[in-house]
Amino acid sequence: MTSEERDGLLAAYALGSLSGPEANAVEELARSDPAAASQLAEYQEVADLIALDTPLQRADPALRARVLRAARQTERSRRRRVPIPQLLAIAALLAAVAVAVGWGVQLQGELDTLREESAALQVAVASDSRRIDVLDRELVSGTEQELRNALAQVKNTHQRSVAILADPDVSTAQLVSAQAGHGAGGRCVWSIAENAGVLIAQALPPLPLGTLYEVWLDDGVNVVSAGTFLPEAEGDAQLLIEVGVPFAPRFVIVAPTQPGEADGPQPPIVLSGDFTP
Amino acid sequence: MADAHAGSEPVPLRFDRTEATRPQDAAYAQAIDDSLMERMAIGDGRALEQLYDRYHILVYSVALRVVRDQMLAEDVVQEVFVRLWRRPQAYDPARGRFLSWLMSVTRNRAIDEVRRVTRRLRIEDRREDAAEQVRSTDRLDAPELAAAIGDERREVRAALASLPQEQRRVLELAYFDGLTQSEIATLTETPLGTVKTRTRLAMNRLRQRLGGRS
Repeated sequence: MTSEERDGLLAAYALGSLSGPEANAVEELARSDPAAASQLAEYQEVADLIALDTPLQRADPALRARVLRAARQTERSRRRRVPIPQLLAIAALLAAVAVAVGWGVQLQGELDTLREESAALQVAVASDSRRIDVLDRELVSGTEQELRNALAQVKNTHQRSVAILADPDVSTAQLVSAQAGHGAGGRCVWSIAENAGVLIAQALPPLPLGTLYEVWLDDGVNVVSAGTFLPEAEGDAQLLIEVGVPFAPRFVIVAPTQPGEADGPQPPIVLSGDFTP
Repeated sequence: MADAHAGSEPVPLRFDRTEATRPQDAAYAQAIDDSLMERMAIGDGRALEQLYDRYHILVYSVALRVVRDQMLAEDVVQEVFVRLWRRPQAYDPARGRFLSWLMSVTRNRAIDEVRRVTRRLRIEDRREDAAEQVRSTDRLDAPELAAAIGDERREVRAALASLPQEQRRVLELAYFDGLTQSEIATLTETPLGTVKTRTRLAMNRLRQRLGGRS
């Protein structure tokens, strides 16, 4: 390749005007040759300045309010994610453990803060994990082994939930009550990156004896179970949902089930929802 | 075939002369942008408003030039700023200036929108639509934008105006229409090698005149 050919490829790449194979070749060149990478960065800087040549047009003044409103809704959804229902259960368990070892109040306060502020979430999680590790090392008796296992499970669930809810590309499904749902509602989020999700439901109707609720995910071709659960006394539930294979669900369904007996959701369907990015 | 911007007049920006002649204008604007992005990262909604006020006209104008549709352009503006709000960490000051990054995000998002919606509208039709829109442009007073990009925009326009028309056209078709070099060759009935040469010469000329701003 001559110097001119190389310059031409880098320049065209910066403009986004190369076809796939040529673009791949430039990316490989930039990875292996720092001088080429530097030159490409200069071309890209210049290419993006071309935008300034655009004749200016005034946007609809109402657009500002629309954009800020959309951002605020994003903010609300971000903040709604923080009081992760999974964290509430974790908070209760961790608080109980904390009381036993004398730092329950402090931990509860930290968890309250954790629920309120998304920006501090990752830091708080790391802090909590360190505390749990400390607690873990202090537990020595046989009965405490069970507690240690429970803590490890809580910690894992906690970290998985945080990872899912921190995924900016998470898909969300608003769960709508079917007739049998009697006004139940909820929300389900799914992270392709984590191949897992979090389901939150409220006001689920009481179950017949011996049955559970089961979560089903449908990608338009296959329907798979993502777990079973029993709601709290008020009909609320929150759980981490996972399937064993990579999955990109389009629909989520919640229906009563008898464990291990169904290959798919059976009537009566209680909640359902479509995932949207 | 109508040229998208034939006959369009540069739209003057109103700006404070003292600000515009300050030698560190670009660096000053960059520092403000970085500061606003840092505030965005900690959830300061006011920073988003300020960034919107500074750049929405430019973002909208670039989007409109690419998508050639007012509603689609507004959708692009919304998506760009909401993404900015959701993921401010996507901007890395170490990798370049905010203005360049913002333009790159806007242009890429707008081209994606065109591909999604039209799946290949005839370029000629889109260009005629755009020419109509550009002709209807009014003069703008955009003090926030002028403070952010005042002199730089004039330099860029002057640099592009200095290019031979055929070189400038290749750049515009690549940048604003998202065409590959092969598509440009077909559209302009020019040998592919000529398109490549024009691209290289034009970009090198711009690099000489505008480079080294990071």
